[in-house]
Formats: sequence, structure tokens, C-alpha cells
Amino acid sequence: MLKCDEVERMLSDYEDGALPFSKMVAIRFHLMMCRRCPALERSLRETIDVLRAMRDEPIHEGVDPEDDKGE
Amino acid sequence: MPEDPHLMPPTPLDDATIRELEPFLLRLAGRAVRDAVLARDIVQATFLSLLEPTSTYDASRGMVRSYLAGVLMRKVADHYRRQRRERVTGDFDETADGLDERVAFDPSRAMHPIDRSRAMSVIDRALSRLPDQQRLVVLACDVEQMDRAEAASSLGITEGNLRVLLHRGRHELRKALEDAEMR
Ligand SMILES: [Zn+2]
Repeated sequence: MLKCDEVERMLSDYEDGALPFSKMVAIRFHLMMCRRCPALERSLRETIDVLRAMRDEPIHEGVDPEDDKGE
Repeated sequence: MPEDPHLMPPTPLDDATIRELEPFLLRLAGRAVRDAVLARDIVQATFLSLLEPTSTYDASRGMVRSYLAGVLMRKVADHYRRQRRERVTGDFDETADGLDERVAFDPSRAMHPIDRSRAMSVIDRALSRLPDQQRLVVLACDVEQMDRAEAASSLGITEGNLRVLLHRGRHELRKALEDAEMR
């Protein structure tokens, strides 16, 4: 079984499916067995999902509501 | 130069498409260079590149946006390279090290998921603080969803270098998101 640090190094590639099939399977297996790595994987995937959503996020004209709390 | 519009080369994009795409390209350029004036110049140069005889864009609409995003990222990378040459502190082309260091992750932290729009603003802000190379790679691969070969070619770096920069940038942003989720 892969060690956690080996999984960590490949996780970014894993999210893109950019690894050989055998590595993809080995990481999947590790994620089923490990108590630490699944949370890391979920967190990284959520980060990538948010980044992807930023491409087509509607553009609001005018000020950022975050900077506009006085209104 | 004569002002007569009839002497201009034919525009390959109609005005409506340009008006529709411009805000998205401006936002991408702004995220890439973090300077509104420079972002505007880069977007303008990106649109102008369609008029160059070497332009190879595809006429279908979805393609135009990703084609232009690729051109834009190329111009941004050129900008950083030029800047580095002027300052002689050049490291944009420097090969990144391997992936030997551990990523920071504490599985014992209690996370309270935040909503998507808050997550976006947290990540957008963290993105602006990333080192230039990491920021551009994340923008190209994750925000614009270019494939790795295409992104590496736009940015003028190797795929191996891109892979390392993407790994580092993504984990940096992940940490920022986790920090926000802890509050
Ligand atoms: Zn593990």
C-alpha cells in the first residue's frame, strides 16, 4: 500500500486523472483504507471545484459587496 | 494612420461577442496581473491578436473564449518575463524543485463548510497572494480549465514544471480555504 506522503505528492495529479491507471487505482485504494488522506483529498477537490466555478461566476458591475458594508 | 474604418482589416469577431467576452477576459487578466490598467492593455492586445494574419482561432463561440484565454495567458507570461529581465531577478523560467516536501494538513481540525460564494472570495484573495508562477498555472489549469499541455505551452514552461507549480498552488489555496472554514 502507498504511504500517505506518496499519496500527497500525487493527489493534485490524481484529481486531474493525470496518472497511470495503476497509480490511480493504488491511490483510490489508499483513500479507502486511510484515516487521514480522505479529508485532504476532499479539501483539495473542493478547492479545485471552487476555482473552476470562478471562470463563469457572473460579473456584477460596481463595487464588491464585501467592501460595501456601510450601506 | 487613416481613421477610415473601411481600411481596417475585417474583424473576425462581431461586436456583441466582444462585448460579451470582454468582462470575463478582463477579470482573468486582472487575476493574473493584479493591475487594472495593465489588465486592460493585455485584453486589448489579446483582441488585436485576432487581426494578425497568424491568428488560428476557431469560429465556434465556445472555442473563441478558450482560444483568447490562451492568448491572454501567453501575453501575461511574456509580461512577467520582460519584467524579470528588466529587474534581473529572473526566476520565471527557473525549473521548480520536485515534490519532496510534505503538504501542510491537519486532519484533526474541525471544518465548518462555508457557502460557495464565500469560498470563491476566500480563494480569489488567496490566489492573488500566490507567487506569480503558481498563480498563472492555477488560473490556466483550474480557472480556465486549459489542458496541461496547452497551459504549459501558453506559459512557456515545461509540463513537469507546471505539474509542480500546480501542486504547490492548489495546496496553498486549500490551506486558505481550510483556514476560512475553521472560523
Ligand atoms: Zn493516507
